[in-house]
Amino acid sequence: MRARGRATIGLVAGGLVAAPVLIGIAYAGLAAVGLAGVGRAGAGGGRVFRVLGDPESWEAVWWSVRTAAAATAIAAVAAVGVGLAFRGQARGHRAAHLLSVLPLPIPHLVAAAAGVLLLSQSGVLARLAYAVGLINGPAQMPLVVGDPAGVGFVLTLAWKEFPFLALVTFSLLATRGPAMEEAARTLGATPRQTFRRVTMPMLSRGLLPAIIVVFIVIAGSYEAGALLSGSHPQPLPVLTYERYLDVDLSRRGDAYALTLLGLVIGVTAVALHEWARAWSDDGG
Amino acid sequence: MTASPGGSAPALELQRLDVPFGDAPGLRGLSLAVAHGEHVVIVGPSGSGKTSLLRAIAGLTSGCAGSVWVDGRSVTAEPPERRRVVYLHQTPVLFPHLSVFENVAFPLRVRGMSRGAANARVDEALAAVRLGDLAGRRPRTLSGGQAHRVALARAVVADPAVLLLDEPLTGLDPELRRDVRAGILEMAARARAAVVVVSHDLEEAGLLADRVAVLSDGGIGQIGTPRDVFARPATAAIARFLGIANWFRGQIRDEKVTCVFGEFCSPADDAAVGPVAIACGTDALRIDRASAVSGIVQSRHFGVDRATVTVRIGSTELSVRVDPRCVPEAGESVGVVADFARLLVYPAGPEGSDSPA
Amino acid sequence: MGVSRANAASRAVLLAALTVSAGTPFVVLGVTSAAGSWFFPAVWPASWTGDAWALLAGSLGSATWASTAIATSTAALSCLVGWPTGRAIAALSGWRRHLAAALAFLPVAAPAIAVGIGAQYFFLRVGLAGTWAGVVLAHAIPASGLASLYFLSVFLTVDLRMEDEARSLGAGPWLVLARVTVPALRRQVAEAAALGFLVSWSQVPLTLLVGGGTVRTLPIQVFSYLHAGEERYAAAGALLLVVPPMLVLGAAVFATGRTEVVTA
Repeated sequence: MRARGRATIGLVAGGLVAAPVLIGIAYAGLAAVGLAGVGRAGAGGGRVFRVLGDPESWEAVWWSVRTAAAATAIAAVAAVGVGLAFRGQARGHRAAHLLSVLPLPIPHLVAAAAGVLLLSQSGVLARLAYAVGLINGPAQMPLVVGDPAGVGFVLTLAWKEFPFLALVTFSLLATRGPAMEEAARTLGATPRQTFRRVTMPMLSRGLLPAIIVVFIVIAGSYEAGALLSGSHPQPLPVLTYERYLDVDLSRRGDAYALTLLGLVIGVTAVALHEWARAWSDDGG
Repeated sequence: MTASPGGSAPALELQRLDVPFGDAPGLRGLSLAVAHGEHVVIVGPSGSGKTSLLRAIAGLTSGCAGSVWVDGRSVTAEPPERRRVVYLHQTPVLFPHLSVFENVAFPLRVRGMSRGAANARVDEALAAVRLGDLAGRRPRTLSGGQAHRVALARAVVADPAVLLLDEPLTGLDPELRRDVRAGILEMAARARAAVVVVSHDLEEAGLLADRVAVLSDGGIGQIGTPRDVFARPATAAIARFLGIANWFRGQIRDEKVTCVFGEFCSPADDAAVGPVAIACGTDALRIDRASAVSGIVQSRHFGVDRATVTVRIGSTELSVRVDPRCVPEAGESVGVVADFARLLVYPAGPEGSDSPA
Repeated sequence: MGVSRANAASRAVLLAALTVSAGTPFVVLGVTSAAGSWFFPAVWPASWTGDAWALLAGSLGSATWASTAIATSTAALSCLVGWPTGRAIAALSGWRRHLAAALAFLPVAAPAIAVGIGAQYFFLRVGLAGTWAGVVLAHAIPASGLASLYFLSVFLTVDLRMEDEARSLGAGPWLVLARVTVPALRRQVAEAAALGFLVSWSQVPLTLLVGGGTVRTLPIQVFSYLHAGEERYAAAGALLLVVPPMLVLGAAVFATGRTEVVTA
């Protein structure tokens, strides 16, 4: 009886914390079909279909997913590399841990500001390139801030999220690694086999939930996208916000449909994350 | 890949092995030979470097001096995977990303055997530990006893000449203890491997050992069958580690020892003169109404298969094994006799150090 | 163990790269914040000025104050929500725990811009839009989710038998909470509060949407300076933004020798 009651309490508590978002989804859903919100145009699926049929929406989704995947991959590879190079009592491991983790709590906005100052065509890197004679003027510097591909965005967010993945990697290697790798070695596995059959599976399973979190965070990042992306295509959060501020009230209503799209991506990622955690606990 | 015991060479031989232990000097100059199929339990108090010793034998620590021989071949310079020594951690370390079957197949797969070729060996090993029907399970879903058995089956599949076990029975409840012990003995017999166990638990040592080695002062203080070592600890320090219950004082002169129970011949044949520390187990003393030595029963203790009473004789309290069916009451006056043949005599240490702390 | 085959030289190169990577943003922001005239292709500013830092007495100062007050309130609120939520979820098992944890994760994972747009209507309706209280409540949406997840992990690992012990020694449930559980977990509470503070401290989109331009936190100020091309002011503000996170990280490293305070 008591156990049943506790089960309900936990779910209700989780539901309450999620309530603002769930209500937001419901509201955005209503607004998207024209039943609520600004630019209310009477019920109908027309707005949703217009947004879903608009290539700009899908370009934004693709831009966000693509850049988030690239930045996450770069950060993960770097984190695993640094983690393996400085695992255990390797020379310099203390300094490496500290330097890796140092930028951990820096806000996205600060990372984006530094990214702009460093990477833009007249930024610090361009000046250094000019000083050593690599380029003859700002225009020769590769465009990475405000570029359609989002190179600057990817680099900046990979830098921003590297510390988190490095932290997880270091702790995985410290807590799960040694005993399992020793067991593998005494059972006859060479260092290379141990790495391929034990270390890497352990790391990839252990890191997957963190990798999904990082992906979600980057894909949902507004301020870094707003400062580092170009005007076309735009990151989904930036496009959503611009639609929301549009002077044309019917366009403004489109923001709700885009919001819904963003939330769908979020919910999917949450489900994936829970699955990855279960999978990782199961064998990571 | 079958074991080929190299003639008369021991399965494992340690020659003047130095094992650093943290910043402490650890073990120094340790030598030991273990035959094929023999089980040696190395006991020592916590912190005496037992785990470090096993890791050194397995090749998992650096900074050791001396040499390690397996099957007549020096493996001192070999990496862990080429020593034919399998080290089992205290709690089983299974690869969580692999199924039970894949865990047991691991040693074969890393030696380049195909999945198909490995099948028969793995099935056989799993059947031997009665886990044939759990082959597809993930390690996380196993009970403690099952995980132990998987680790054992996996170790045996690696075809080791030496199995190293770190306190394999410590902290297990009695039923699981029996289960794991049976698994260890059976698997070791299959592999014809030398088994080296470290433990601080004498019960565990008695259950597994052909020979017991007691670590003392950074080396092996005594080695022998459990019966010999437990009955005749070589030094007072080893006797104390073994938990010998009763300690009292006596005098030695002309190879005769005099104590509260009378006079008897010294078991050692040195001609020392002076005070000695005498030790004995609870079963070396007995209640006897006819005895001239009497004391007052202070308290009574009942165990599962024995009973003891604490008797105060003069200023000494002694623990005496009694028949559980007639245990004297507290406060009763009883006579006590000693079995002189089972009294242990050691040179007296500094004042006050010859009674258990 | 020989698993890492990186030799000493490549480790030295990696260390140098990590140093540059960790240090460069601070150097660039620091120099920019005090650079007077600094035109391409000059590698170093031609003149220096302290006018950006003088804004500490003006816009940056008031924004810092607003951010501090809002982030502190958010931290307290998220702990108050996160503790009982995390504890209740930890009492669950199986799919129920997964579902509840996923629900708590939702406000953290959903894009803030989407959360803000969904919530703004309600904040407008109840008159909280454009107020500090409204901004605190909006920031508490993701912060509470994060705190719930944090306390969930705490209550899944901490041995709570001390509460039974205290109850059997005669303390009532509230007394146990106040005298035993909370004091025993004070480090965890501090970490949860730090997380909540940082979520609010670095928040941009929720403040934009709910604050509606009238609540000018430090990130909003920096964001608008960046948009306006006022790089010097933006850099000074960005450096101010880094101070509390670095203090938190330093405290975490110092207090435990570990770095558990995490913001992705």
